[in-house]
Amino acid sequence: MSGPFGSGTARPAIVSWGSTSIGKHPARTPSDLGLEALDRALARAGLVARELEALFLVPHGYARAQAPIRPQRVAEELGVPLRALVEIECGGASAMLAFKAACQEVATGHVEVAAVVGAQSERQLFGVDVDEGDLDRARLMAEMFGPYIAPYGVMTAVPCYALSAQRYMHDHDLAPEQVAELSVRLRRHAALNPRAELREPLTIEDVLSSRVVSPPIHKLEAPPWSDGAACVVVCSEEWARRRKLATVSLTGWGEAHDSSNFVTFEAGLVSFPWVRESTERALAHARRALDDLDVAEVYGAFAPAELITYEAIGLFGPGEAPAAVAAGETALGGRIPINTSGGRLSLGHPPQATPLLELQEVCEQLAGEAGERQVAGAAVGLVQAEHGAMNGSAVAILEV
Amino acid sequence: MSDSSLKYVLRDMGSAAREFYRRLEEGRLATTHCASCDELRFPPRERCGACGGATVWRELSGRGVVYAFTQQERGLRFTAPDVLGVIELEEGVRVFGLLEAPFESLAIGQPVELRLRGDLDGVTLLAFRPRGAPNRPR
Repeated sequence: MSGPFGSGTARPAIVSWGSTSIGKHPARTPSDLGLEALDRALARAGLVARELEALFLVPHGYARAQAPIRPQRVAEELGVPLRALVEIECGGASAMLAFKAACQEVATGHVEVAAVVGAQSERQLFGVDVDEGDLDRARLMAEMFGPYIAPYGVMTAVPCYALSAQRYMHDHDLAPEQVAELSVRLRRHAALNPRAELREPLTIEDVLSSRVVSPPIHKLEAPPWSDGAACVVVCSEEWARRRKLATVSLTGWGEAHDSSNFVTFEAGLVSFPWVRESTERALAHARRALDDLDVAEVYGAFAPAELITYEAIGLFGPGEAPAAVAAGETALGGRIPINTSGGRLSLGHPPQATPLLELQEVCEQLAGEAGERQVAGAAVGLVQAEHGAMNGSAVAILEV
Repeated sequence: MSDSSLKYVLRDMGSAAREFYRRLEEGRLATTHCASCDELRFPPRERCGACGGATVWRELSGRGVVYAFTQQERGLRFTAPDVLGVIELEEGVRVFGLLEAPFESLAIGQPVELRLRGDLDGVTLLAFRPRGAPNRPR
């Protein structure tokens, strides 16, 4: 029997999901946002917190220094005894890997029901009112980039993505308008998503006249730095049957990581073969092919990186994603709708919650709860998340 | 690298990275080579990831071509209009460094050569300039 993690492994199920609005929540702590997302996920399926046996958490932001043992403080706030309690960190993939850990915990039978919570709310990292604490965080952000990049003043991933974008556009002779088109298309999806941070219509001219944050990346080809939280509740199929609750099954998981930190020196900056590897592993475990996918949600932190991701997954040939996007192949109603949520660029991007927001979007599509942006009859979905500047990738295949 | 922001940036640096910067301070750009796999890799590693054998340091020419380049708006140790780039060296490895030329004047594939730059904290960094370009006063 096939299983999401290989032969003979049990299939965990997603029984509920929930999130806060995505945007700016300066007055709210990550903890508050996380608990709101958890409450919403529980309420959606008529669950109560004391039914949870396990909590899988991620750190509550990139630029927030965090005291040790946050999971036990969250457990105290929640007021529920647990059989598994853990926090998992691997950059933007953190919440995806926390989801994996929860699924594995359920697949082994150690617990029957677990909540995965990711939340992010940041103080202004580079604001004018920088104090000593902020400077410490700025140093942590710089240290993240390691000995071969950080000394040059790199302390956000933007220039790393920009290097990749420039090379990608050069290798395939792509015009700026062709990349900007993706931002416009994602905004059309977001217009149909009440959760999305940015919903106003966008034109190619808007994108190309927005400021250049790191050439060739424009502001409107980058995600907003968002606050928000999301939660996914995972359970065994047997538990869901007993509770008579509908579920979405995890049928395949794949993961692959390059041996690099932000700049993928050896593989080059335009192909990211580990994205393909993670996709192929997940599809093999699910006994599915790319053609079986009805809907996909990919990380896509910047417009050029998102286009590369489509190609790296295998949906389009090298350099062919921009034309496919322009032809509507990835739009609602197209061959394979991608990022129906609006993606990171328009849904908003609270990195520590983002993979759970991606899972939520695909679960809603598979459950037929996606409202105006529903992909008719969606039964098989793909969720992809990454860390660094696409230094590693994790893929989940979800089915109903 | 004593009392500066760089000590925070590099405080967890591994031994291969420390050796890399020690050599740079002596004016030598080098990375590691595995004799049994005949593999030259960047970044340097004390042991070969493929066979586990000890690596040896190999000096690099510092000559190469621009693979990609960009700028950023701000950073603790970055001043626009500096240009950041990935350089593909003659030996086949790619490295990260500054490009000492106006952004608009640069192109992918342009030949460049190494010009080590003493950082304000006393750390030696990689900088590259178009090959054959005259010395610019700094």
